Amino acid sequence: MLSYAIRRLAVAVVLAFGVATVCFALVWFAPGDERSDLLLSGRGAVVDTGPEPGLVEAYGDWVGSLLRGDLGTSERSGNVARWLLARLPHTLALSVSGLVLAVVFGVGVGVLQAARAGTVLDRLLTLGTVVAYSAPAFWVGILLGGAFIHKPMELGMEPLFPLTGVAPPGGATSLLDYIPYLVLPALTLGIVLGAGIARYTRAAMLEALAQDYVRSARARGLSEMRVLFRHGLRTALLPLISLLGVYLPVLLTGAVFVETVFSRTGIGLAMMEAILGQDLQVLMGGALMFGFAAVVGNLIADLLYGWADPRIGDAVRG
Amino acid sequence: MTAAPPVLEITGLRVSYSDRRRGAHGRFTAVDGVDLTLARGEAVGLVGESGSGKSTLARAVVGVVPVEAGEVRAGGEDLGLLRERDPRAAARRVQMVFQDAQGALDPRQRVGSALGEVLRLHDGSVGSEGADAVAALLARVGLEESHARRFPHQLSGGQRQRVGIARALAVEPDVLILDEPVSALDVSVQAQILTLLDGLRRDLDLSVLLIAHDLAVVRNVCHRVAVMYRGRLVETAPTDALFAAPTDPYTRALLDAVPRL
Amino acid sequence: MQSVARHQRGGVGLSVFLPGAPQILAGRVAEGLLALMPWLSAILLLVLRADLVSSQLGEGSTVGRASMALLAAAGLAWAWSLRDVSTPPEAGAGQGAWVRIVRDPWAGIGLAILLFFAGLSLLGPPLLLPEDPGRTQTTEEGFLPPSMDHPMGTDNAKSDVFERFLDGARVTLGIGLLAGLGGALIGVTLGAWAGFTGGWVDRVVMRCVDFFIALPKLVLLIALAALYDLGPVTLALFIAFVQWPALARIVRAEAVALAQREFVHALRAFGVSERRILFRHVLPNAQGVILVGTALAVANALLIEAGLSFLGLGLDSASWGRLIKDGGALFPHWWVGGFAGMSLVLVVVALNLVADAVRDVFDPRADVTV
Repeated sequence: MLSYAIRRLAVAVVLAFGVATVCFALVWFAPGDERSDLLLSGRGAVVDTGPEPGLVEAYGDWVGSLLRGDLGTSERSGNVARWLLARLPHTLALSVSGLVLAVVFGVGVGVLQAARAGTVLDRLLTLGTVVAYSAPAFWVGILLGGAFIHKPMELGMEPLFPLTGVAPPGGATSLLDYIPYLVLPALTLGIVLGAGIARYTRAAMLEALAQDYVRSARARGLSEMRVLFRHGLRTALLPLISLLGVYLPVLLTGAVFVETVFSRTGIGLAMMEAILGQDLQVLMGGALMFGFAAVVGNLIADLLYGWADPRIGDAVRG
Repeated sequence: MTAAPPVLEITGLRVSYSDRRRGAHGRFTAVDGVDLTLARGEAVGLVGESGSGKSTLARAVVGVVPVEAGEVRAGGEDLGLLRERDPRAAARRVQMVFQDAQGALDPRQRVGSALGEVLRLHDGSVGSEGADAVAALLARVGLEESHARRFPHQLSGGQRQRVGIARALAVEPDVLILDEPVSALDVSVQAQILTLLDGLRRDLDLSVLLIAHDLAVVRNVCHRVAVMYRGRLVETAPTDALFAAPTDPYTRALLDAVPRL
Repeated sequence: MQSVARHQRGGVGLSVFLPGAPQILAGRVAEGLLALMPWLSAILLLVLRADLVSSQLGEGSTVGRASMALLAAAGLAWAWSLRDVSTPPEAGAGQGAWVRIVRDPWAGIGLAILLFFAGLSLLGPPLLLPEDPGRTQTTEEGFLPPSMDHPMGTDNAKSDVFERFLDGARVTLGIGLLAGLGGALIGVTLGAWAGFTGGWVDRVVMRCVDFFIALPKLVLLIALAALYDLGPVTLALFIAFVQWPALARIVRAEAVALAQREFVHALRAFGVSERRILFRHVLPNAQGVILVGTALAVANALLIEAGLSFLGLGLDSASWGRLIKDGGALFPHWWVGGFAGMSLVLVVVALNLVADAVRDVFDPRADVTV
């Protein structure tokens, strides 16, 4: 297990390095010469002395400052790392609550479908999950916003949830102030991501329940609930952990769209504002943060899977 | 005048697999130093229990599994080297009919197309000439022209085995190796296939290596019988002599298992 | 197996007036809709725009060619339906994989949806829009609700939403298809090659796949689209580039399994070249996963194109994503973004339905996640 963990960690470091390199290449090869200068302005020092730095030198500088946690400074936003870190909690709150909702929805619906396989309810839910699975996060967000905020407003009622932002003006004084702003965005992510998890859970549950030992457990007179959760869900959930690693980029990307739809001032919205304001440092800083988040998430999923299923460590070694 | 080299000459052949159960670098030796020679027109039976290495021997000869040590020569030429240089020429020296007749055929390919593919590759016959050649091949193994339009899963076990033989014959090989060609078939169908095989051998002056786990199968169609046990040949003798006076205890045990008819 | 009576429900008479209707009644939804849709569209065209068609038919203009295509499709549908109804089904005929996919009711609905949007985006602009294509039809007022003049209303810039919707269909579906197929091509080729060849090729390709799968590709695409001016082809290329790893992974797994099958060994023993084995034997046997993966890749590519346009980062020209963005908060002007949003979901659902049916037919146990 330890050597497995170390190996995964090494892979994660290489991946993070790759993400950084891709980001650098994106900027370096972009058309327009002011962009390659922008890379260097982040060092804070005077740059326009001497000749233009070459690719290797610029890359070295950039990686160096990255390792110090320096994402540069921009005119609009000041210290980019600080600017983004201040917004990170909002994105994290959205992602984590979205993921939790997705797992709850997904596993719940999947188990329900597997328990009622073949019934009308199962078919309706199958159709529902296909539709939710097919819908882009921004459209689901718009629909939810329309239904709970804008339609009531059109009818002259109070909207059910606050219009935009992450907290009441003047800042949140308690968690209760914060939550109403989180409900619809997190629900959006939960629906989009949960649909995929539900489809997976249903299939995995049905397969697990068809195993011989489960059937013999049924024959021994174990209660249906016990069979469902003890035998079905346990077997089905293990691979779900590794699937979460696959869903992570979806979650992060979804966050960008959801923040845009609901004007949540997280990192995703910061990136979109940066694009409008030609604020390259913030754009690249945001892309890097999402990239690193994906790498870390993958690492966590891998480690969790290795911890939950000791065979994995052996299989990798063997 | 020197005698023509044997059509197939196997010397000191060794094949092994990596085997995890024997440790990290453990290997299982499936074929361990086998010598076997086939003369033109000769039929040799290779007999042994399952797991004795018969199939592995055959697969090594046609290049499906790598040879670890030893040599396989066909018509005096090293078959492995020939295969590297000219795979099609090597295929014309020795050809094999696989044990799993259905698995050996591409499930999405019609019989005619499977035969045509091999024909086209080896003598370039295409179009109506190719279709005629396919029909001739099918007739040769006792199938009808209409079978060319079937998929493998639409054939019976015996028919599939005939298709396998027809495909092997398409390259007009010197040696035909048959890996348990009848073990999955009904007894009556077994007899038909063995009769077909014997006729083909006579008509085409083919050398045949017939692999079976059952001595009864090889008795009527083979000149000689080689008995294999745990990767080694324990006895090779003319069929009659072997049945009359087996020298190896394992051969005796095998013979005792043959039902007296 | 369908009985003759079931096959002929409605019979020849119905088929003359509504080709495809008997097939739909007999449960063959996809085939029926495929015939019925061009027929009804042609009739609608003749009724609504008789003047346009009669003046342009036979001319080399776009309108003339599009009308010809639609009328020809309607004629074909009519002939097929009649022939299909009057010939009894072959007793005991084996149902091939394709027939089973087309006759699966859900896949049938999916295929019909796809055909509808394909026809709409190809034939819609010349036949349904004002004669001068590319011109934005400005109106007196913005945010007009749907009406006979403006079937999908007008937007804030006083443009006709239906016109933007049709243009957007071309862009979104076109780029989605191009990028999805492109990604599938790369992924299938690399995956099959890696899985079939094994060894270092396999290791190198799969390392790349692992790397790309772990990246939040869309975020990088956002940065890319913000920094570079992308044309439709480059945009499709980049979207394709984020699609291939998922396909490579599933195709590789299939190729690894197929490479160990006995028939591959047999082909080798016959001296059949590795390339021929790969392209003529391994790939055709992997067609199930390839098809599923391709359908899902196209669906993904559509969503990515729409997503980028929604963020204002796609092409400058119209796209459904752009329309959804301009639709804003859905209320009170629901028609601006609503049609595009619903259509986008509908097309992706259709692709998923088809993919599910293909998966069930080719391998009921395979689980593919793209």
